[in-house]
Amino acid sequence: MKKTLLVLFFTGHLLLIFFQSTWTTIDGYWGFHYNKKPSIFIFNFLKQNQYTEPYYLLTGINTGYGFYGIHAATEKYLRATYYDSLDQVLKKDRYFNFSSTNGISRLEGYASFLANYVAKTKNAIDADSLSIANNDPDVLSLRNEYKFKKDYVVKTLKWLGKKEALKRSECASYKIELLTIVPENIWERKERQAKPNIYVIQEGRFPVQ
Amino acid sequence: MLFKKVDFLYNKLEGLFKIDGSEKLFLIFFRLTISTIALIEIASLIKDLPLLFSSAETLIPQELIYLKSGYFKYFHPLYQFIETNGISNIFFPTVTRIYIGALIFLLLGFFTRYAAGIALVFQLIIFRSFTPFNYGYDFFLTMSLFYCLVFPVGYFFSIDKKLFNPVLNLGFNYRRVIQIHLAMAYCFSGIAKGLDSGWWNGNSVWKALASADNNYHTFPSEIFIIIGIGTICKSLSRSKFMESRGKNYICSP
Repeated sequence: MKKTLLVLFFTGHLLLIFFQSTWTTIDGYWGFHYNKKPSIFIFNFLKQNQYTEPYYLLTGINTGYGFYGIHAATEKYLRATYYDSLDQVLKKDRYFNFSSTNGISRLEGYASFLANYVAKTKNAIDADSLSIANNDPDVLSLRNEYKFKKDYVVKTLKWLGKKEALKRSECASYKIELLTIVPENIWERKERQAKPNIYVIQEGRFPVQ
Repeated sequence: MLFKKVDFLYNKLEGLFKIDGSEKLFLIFFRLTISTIALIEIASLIKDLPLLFSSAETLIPQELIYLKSGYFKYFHPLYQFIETNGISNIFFPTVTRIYIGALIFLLLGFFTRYAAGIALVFQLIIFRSFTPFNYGYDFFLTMSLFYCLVFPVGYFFSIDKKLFNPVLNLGFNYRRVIQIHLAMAYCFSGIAKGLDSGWWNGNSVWKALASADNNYHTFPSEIFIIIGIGTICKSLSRSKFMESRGKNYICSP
């Protein structure tokens, strides 16, 4: 009896993983190539929804199994520059006092998250074709959400450099940049020894208070 | 007729999870490695935790706005409870200690199932309260701790065995569950890569490797193609590879 229960439980568990894997792969492909979410009844029923979600979260099977597959992204990172009152650079830093590769990797992951967050917010604002004078509660709520998202990124950048800036008595202000390596087509590059181009996604300069 | 078909299907499934004699060794190996890896990971991160928007030694971003994620609605009542009862000063500084304690108990096999359950819940609290700091490793650690909870990992080579001497009739191949799980993960990772032209022409490998900290971007384009196609082939063939390596698989998941 116990063996039967084990066979049934783990078969169901592995089937859920199979559906999740299939779904995330289709979702990643569709989302990138057609810019929309696919809707397939059987997947909608079994994929992460309000009924299955607690199990997905508790077991950790809610990961994207097509990891690093469709549309790989380039490296994103954050950089801090600290200035004195004469605007002379005191220090440039990319690691924000992180001492472990684990911490640095998580910080890089966070930079990727921020880059996506900024891009998605910008796309949503660009796609908003409603009149500025529109005072519909739903529209106002949506615009509050845009504002929250923009403020969130600024607040994050400010927090990241604050501790180090306060530690340096001569520091008058600091700048935090969110940077990305610009993707290249390797078959069109003229000089492969040249350093990849860097693009500033967002930056913020903050006075030390 | 239907009963026969169901019976046939069930027998097939039972055959899939048939024991092969390596279960005991696997369960010991799995418990020891997962708890050790989790301990090494948290130990390596502990000094950096306050830098991750946390005022205590957790990944919980008390100093920044909480962002909504799949976990938010489950953790929000917990944080509200902590806030309203004024136990933040006790809770936040102790979560990491409780997590490490549970992992040590799991490593020693002392109240193993409870230790695995506590480690799982606290791993979720510490690492999933703020999902932007997560990467794939965290998901695989959650999965592994979940398997430590449901597999009978404390029945052998453990303090539980010495103290309580529990008897287990091993009739199920737990290793097969992990094998199938990882085979699916690698296989779908390979399919996703195969669907992207960048992995065939080397551009995705360039994107993955190019960094401000290295000179991998200077490699000839042909090298990127070989790595890209090799990665797809390796991921897709991983399931077959696992099968053929048999017992040795557990040493290199």
